[in-house]
Amino acid sequence: MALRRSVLTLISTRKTSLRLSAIKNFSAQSEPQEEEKRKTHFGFETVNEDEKTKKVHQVFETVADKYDLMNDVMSLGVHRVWKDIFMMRLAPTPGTKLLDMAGGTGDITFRYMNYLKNKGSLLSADKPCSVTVCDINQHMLDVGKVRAERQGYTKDTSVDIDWLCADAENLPLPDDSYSAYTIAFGIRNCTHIDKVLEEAYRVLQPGGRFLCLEFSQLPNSTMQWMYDQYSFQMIPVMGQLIAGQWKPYKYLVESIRQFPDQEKFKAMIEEAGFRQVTYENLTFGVCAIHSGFKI
Amino acid sequence: MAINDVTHKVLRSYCQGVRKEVVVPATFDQEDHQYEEDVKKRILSKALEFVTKSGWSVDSLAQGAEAAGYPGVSHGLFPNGGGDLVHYFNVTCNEKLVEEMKSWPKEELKESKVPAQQIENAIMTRLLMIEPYKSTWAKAMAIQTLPNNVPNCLATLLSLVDDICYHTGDRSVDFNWYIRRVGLAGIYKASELFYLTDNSQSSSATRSFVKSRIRDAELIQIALNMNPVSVAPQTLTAAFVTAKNMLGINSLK
Repeated sequence: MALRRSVLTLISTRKTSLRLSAIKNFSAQSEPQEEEKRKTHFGFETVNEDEKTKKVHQVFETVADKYDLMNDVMSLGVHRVWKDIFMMRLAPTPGTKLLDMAGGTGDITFRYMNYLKNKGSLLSADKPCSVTVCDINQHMLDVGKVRAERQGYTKDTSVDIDWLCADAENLPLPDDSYSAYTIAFGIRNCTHIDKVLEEAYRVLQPGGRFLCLEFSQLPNSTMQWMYDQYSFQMIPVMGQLIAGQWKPYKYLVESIRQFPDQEKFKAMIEEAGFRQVTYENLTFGVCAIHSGFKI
Repeated sequence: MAINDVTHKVLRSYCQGVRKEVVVPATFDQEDHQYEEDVKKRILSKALEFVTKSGWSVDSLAQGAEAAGYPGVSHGLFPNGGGDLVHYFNVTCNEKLVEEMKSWPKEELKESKVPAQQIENAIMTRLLMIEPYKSTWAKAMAIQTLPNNVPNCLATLLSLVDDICYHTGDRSVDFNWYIRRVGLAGIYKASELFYLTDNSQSSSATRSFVKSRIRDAELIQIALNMNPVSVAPQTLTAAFVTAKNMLGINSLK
């Protein structure tokens, strides 16, 4: 019996020492990671963080004019359907205050206004709806403003529109001020996704909804291969032919590959404090709608 | 003996150690889950107040969310929209019924006797819970038949008939278990349909409908319980008469 006991104690001490060394290993590993953290990816390139912000800014400055045309050409028009579904999932109600982040050209905002207009009778004066179109890039906002005026959305007084040029990682907005936060094809271009999510959580009021439409990964590897062929062989060529730009569209397809897949992104949203986080794949997973609530 | 004791202790402490590590995050998750469910229930119970006006719809959910102190877009917590609201209503009604049935006097149960009166009371109590929403209930029944709501609908129906069977004394473990439940589910759904168009005073027509359906079920049960050997002559005669009829050589013609 004594022998057995001593063996047991030996085992238990060895276990703790093993665990200790494991911890040591872990901490040793995490140190260089922190140094690397200041680097980030820009497409498949590795660049400094502030460099990425600048580069993304340049990309959108150059593509702003042809942005909508290129979206139609590259997705064969399907991006309109994705955005329609996205707005159907939000299903805004009277009194909704929407922050349309990275919504420069107004695709989501106009759909939001249309949705509310189609609901018609339910809109009442005591529950006004509003939308703040927010984008880090003034060029994109300018495109949106022109479109809004041309399509007559500025005359529509039932929904207030504000235009705001601000960084999603550092919003100049008070806490608990919006009931919905949407970001469509924008979060991928942000340098710190976790900071964006934290800011989204901060500005949403309790019960508010976070919705994100973003390119994602296809769970089926054959489909992913076909999608890869299309993205890498066709899209930069189309960019060159139609918009006269190769690099921004190469960045586009590369940044899609760098973005975390559905499950990983879901975990990130949960990390930021959102609850009831779910996602829905569109077109086999080319896009995914992630949804979360601040409750 | 002593060695056995030691290994026992080691085993136990080992198990406890493992369980501790697992349990801590599990309860945390559970608390989180509970919190989310509570929020949802609060919104749903408020939403029921708007059903008579806005129906079993997303609008009711949005108004309910606002009444519970959340913005209207929180209705997105219920991806099935009206279906989730109907499901919530069914679940709460079933729970209420169980609470009521627990207080009912227990009848002495005999082998072959069906507690018809109790079953009838249970079905009627449950049906009358729909009363405040009677005008919109047809829509609710339609919503329940939509493909994405069917699993929830069947689950609540099964738990309803299961509760009724259990609390009226069914303890069977044989094939009758299935027959009773399926039969009762049929009776309940038929009565629900009948109740929709019942304009009689205090739903007396529904009550008599339920009564006669239960009597039908009793007859079927009697027929099923008959000894096949003892009723063989009757069965054979019936078969022959049918065959004769089909061949057109019925002697009574």
